[in-house]
Amino acid sequence: MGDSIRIRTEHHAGWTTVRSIIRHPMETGFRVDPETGRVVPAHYITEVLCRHGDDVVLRCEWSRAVSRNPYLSFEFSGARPGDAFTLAWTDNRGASDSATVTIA
Amino acid sequence: MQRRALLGVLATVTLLLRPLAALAQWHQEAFSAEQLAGALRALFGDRVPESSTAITLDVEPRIENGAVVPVQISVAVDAVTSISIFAQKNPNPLLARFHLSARCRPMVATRVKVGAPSDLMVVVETRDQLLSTRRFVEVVEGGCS
Repeated sequence: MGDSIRIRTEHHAGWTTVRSIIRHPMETGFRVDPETGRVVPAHYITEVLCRHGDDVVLRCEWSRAVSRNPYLSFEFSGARPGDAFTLAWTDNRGASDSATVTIA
Repeated sequence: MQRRALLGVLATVTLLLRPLAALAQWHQEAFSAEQLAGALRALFGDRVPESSTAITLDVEPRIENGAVVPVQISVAVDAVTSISIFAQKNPNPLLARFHLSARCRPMVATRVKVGAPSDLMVVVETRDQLLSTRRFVEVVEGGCS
């Protein structure tokens, strides 16, 4: 669990900055595999949920046009160093992963 | 009495399920739209976004590799509830949509694929407004394969 997700947080003056990278192919379904000559099926993250404790602070809906190994950064208030921050994703095949970090 | 108890259980189950349902929402119609106008209509109905200088869309004007286009959006108004990004000439123009809680600063950064030289458009929903901005980007090598 969580192997696909890297999260860095920074806390400053009441604001938490989140920078994250998710390892995911984000295949559009348009690409042709040069070895097989076949179209690689679409495989992409559709939803990302960011939580502080149980509170959803950001929800993302993504298309296949978010770049491979997606990067996401945003900021939210109301957390304290030591609190838990969780990022979870789901893709169009129903696969999912989540990772929790302690806010630094 | 039994019936009342059952209704109570049903009400509880409904309440428990509601947040889960709220989490599992991916706007199929908007993401499948093949034209910008169709995607906008699917998301916002007849509401027409008002062009606004309060939105800052940071993106390089000339992009070598359309597969990895860093974008950062920040908004200088309060109570932003969602930020949506579109690329006019992509096969499906809606790229990503961000639902911000009241605790978020109205800012997101990500990387997207842009298939051809075209306008990038950002639409921002606030509690009572629908705002937008556009910016043309030159793409040397398209990123939608």
